[in-house]
Amino acid sequence: MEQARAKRSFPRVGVALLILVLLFVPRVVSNPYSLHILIASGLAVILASSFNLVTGFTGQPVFGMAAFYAVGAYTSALLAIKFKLAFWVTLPIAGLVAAVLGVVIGLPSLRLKKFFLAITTIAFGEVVRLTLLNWVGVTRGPMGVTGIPAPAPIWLPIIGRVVFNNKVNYYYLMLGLVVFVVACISSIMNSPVGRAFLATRDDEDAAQTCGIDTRFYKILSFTLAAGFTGMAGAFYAHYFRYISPNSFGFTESAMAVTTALVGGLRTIAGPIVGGVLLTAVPEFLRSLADYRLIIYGGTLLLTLAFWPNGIVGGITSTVSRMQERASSRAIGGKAR
Amino acid sequence: MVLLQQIVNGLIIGGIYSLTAAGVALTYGVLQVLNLSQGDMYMVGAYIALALVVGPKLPYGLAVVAAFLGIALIGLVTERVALRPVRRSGTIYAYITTFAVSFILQNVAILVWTADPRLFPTRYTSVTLSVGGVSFTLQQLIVFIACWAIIGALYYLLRFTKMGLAIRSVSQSIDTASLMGIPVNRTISLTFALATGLAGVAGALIGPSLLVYPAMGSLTGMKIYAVILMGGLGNVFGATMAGFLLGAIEGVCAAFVGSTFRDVLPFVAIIAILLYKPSGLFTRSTS
Amino acid sequence: MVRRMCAMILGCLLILGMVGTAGFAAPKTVKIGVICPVTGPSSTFGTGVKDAIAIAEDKLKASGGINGMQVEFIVLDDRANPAEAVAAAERLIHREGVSVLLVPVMSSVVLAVMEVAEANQIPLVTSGATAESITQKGYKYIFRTCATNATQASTMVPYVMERFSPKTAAIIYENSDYGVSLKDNTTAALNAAGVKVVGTEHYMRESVDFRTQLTKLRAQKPDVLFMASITAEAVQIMRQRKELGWNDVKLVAFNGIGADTVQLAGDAAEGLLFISGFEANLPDPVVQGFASDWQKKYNKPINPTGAAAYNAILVILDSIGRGGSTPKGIRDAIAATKGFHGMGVEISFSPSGQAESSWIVIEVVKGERVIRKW
Repeated sequence: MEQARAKRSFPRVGVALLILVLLFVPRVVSNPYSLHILIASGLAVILASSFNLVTGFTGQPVFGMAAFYAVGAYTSALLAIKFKLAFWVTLPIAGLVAAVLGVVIGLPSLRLKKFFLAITTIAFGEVVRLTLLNWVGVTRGPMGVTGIPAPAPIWLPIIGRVVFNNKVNYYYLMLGLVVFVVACISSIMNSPVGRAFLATRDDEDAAQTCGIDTRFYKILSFTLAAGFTGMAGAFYAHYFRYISPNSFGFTESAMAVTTALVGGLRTIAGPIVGGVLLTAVPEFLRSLADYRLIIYGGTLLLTLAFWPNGIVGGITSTVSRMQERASSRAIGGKAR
Repeated sequence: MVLLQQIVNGLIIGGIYSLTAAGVALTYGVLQVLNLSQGDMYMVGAYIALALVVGPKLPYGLAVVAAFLGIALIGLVTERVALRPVRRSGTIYAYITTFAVSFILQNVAILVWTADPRLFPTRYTSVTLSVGGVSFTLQQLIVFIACWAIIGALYYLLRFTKMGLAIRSVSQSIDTASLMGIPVNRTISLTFALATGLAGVAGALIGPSLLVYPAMGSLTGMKIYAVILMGGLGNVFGATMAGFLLGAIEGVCAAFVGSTFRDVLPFVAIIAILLYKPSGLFTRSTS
Repeated sequence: MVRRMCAMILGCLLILGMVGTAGFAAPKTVKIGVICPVTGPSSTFGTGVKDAIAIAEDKLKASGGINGMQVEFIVLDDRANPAEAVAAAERLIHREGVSVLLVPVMSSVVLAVMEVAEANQIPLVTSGATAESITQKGYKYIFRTCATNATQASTMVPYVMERFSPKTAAIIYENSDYGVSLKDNTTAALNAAGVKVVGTEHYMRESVDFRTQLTKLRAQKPDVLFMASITAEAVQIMRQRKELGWNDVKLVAFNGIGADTVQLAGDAAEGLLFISGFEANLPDPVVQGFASDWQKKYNKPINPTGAAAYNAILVILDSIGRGGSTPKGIRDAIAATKGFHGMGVEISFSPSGQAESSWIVIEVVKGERVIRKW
């Protein structure tokens, strides 16, 4: 009993420690380039975690995450430029607009399964990109949106005025966003809603027999994932301060999938590990220039060949195998 | 006149779609996997044929065969390193591994052949034929005929040979097939090699009409999805028919509507087809 | 639980790794950071730029650097993606400690990277991004050695009027910032000259089939066909036009193409008029020197992107010679550049950072490139 409680409270302590470490990172890492990579990893983590929510936990493959990303970015950027709204207002609006798109793109999931659904979402993603490209009057088309303002300075208790003119403050903003999204997903997965998601994934018919409205939960997971991704998009727009349809192509969608899968689908930690690793590794490889993407591709192949469930899945199963061996040895020892 | 020319234009590009889609459909039929590297196999196929025609001055026909064999070999290796390890983990993983293969092939091509576009000289590209005011080149006619010949050969292979029987039974159920004593691994390897080989042939056939460069494979991608969905996933003949159909529709569309719509068309087609008839246009609905 | 621990450990390791590698370079050598697409669909640009840099490096090695300072080029790949380019720029500035950035191509990339350059006060030179907005923002550290899309149209259209006095024209363009802005500028210039634009058709980058668009435009019977296209697409447009038997039209193109395009298109490019910032046949010592170096080293047609980048490299090297190794010094020296003799052009910068350079109009006659206006 006591042990079980200790076991349960340990992850909390771990997470708190991790966040504490992350809070102190800018104290140690002062190089803006390293901070930039961490910020970019944060974006990757949100994308992959959202993808994991619909695909890993709810079992609805979505290969068009870039659509939500793009819509969030454009919504926030255009509102900020045309209506002079502050980032703090446009951020939730971007999330909402993307969430509405999530409902639309989620609708086919009521009828389609697996690969058919995946391809439909790819198609939807491309339709969104082509719309941004050709709707010149609103989006400025291929010219992209320039002059996106940085988030307005805010006043925080204790800390005081925060001005977004350096990487450190963007880092904290990103960290806050990541913690928010991961905490949301994790608490959803620990709630009845999360169990309904899992039930929908594992056996839709059985879930329906148990009185779970799987149609509602499918759409809900799309909506949530889209909303989170849309907020990441808003951050992207105000951080890079320039967006164009070019930035949200099929490659970005594929990257979200890759990140989650390599990190470990169906786990909370997987997309986080994947997001940080897959953003940092290509940066380390950057000096290899021509060989960079070959090595990157090779690494992906090797990782999935040895750990078909991703890095986190692989480590978990290795560790539990070791534990099993250790405990069986212990039991054997006692019997003797 | 213009409309007729547009339909012919569509059939010419449709031949490209058909050949590439046939391979993707074959792979999907057996493995339930979409091979994202098919476009890059097609590109490497074009380079192999080009190297043989320009270097040792091989006849074009032989170069096409060599491209088939070369890419089939690459396909065998790909199946072994990228698909077999994740076969049991679910199709979504194969999506990533074939994406990685695509990365590797494209960047190896840049290293080996540089990114500069190259001409693929054949005797047939410079011969322009004009029938009733509709123009095309001899090369394009050859591609069109070769396309049908290959489709015929595929049909024969799948219907009337032992290997075809094995492929068809594996595509129905891997487990049952292995119970029936069909060497499943070998069949899957061979099917994948055959499917990628088709991409190699497509590259070798189409290369002369276009230019050969490392990014030429990106023309496949979305349009190929649209094609194999129209044809019915895993339905090789449906896919080839749908390839020509999509090409022709595109041509007609471009004639009457604008290019913007032409770009959106495949995606709208995907969504519409899937919502209306998920099993594809060329199949009798079974489920 | 175990999972989370592992994630934690991995996260900490990574952070430590990044801390360990942070650092600055000694200012003994001047570093020039170059961001261009070396991989992916646009890698032909990067290839050209890298080839040109290799020539510049040979020259520097032979001359022993500038004022005793060594010059080092660091080329990073951006896959033509703005976010990747920004990451590359952050790395070049904060990790490699470059004093100046060269971003040869892609307006969308330059527009994203210039935010980083301006914020860090590192001069950025572009040699081929032609979107007007780049030099319209009042940034102090952004310079452009090529002319803009608007000047392409205002150079080409009057020349076409003078040569052919066409009544009607059509435009085929790639659906990108490059193609769209050229189409808009050309349409405006044509309308002002009283030419009717009877059709415009666009295509996505990396398309291979242009027959549908060409057939449609042909039906409108334009006298001139403008192509706002880049190498591979331009070659295929010209060849497919010929395959369709459409021979009674004048072809006009912009700076997306060059000697390599003309060679690849073969007789399909006969009679083509195009614009360039560079032409190997120019009777100019710098150009001739570059052309013979290129020929010796690569034995292939000169890549126009590479030649344009070389022009910018000359400007940068000259500015390092006058302004020293610091970003501020180089920035001031670039801004003060007056009448510097680059690749066949005298380069001076306006206060907005735009070089007052002009375009060369070239015509393809019997497979040879003939300079028509300079």
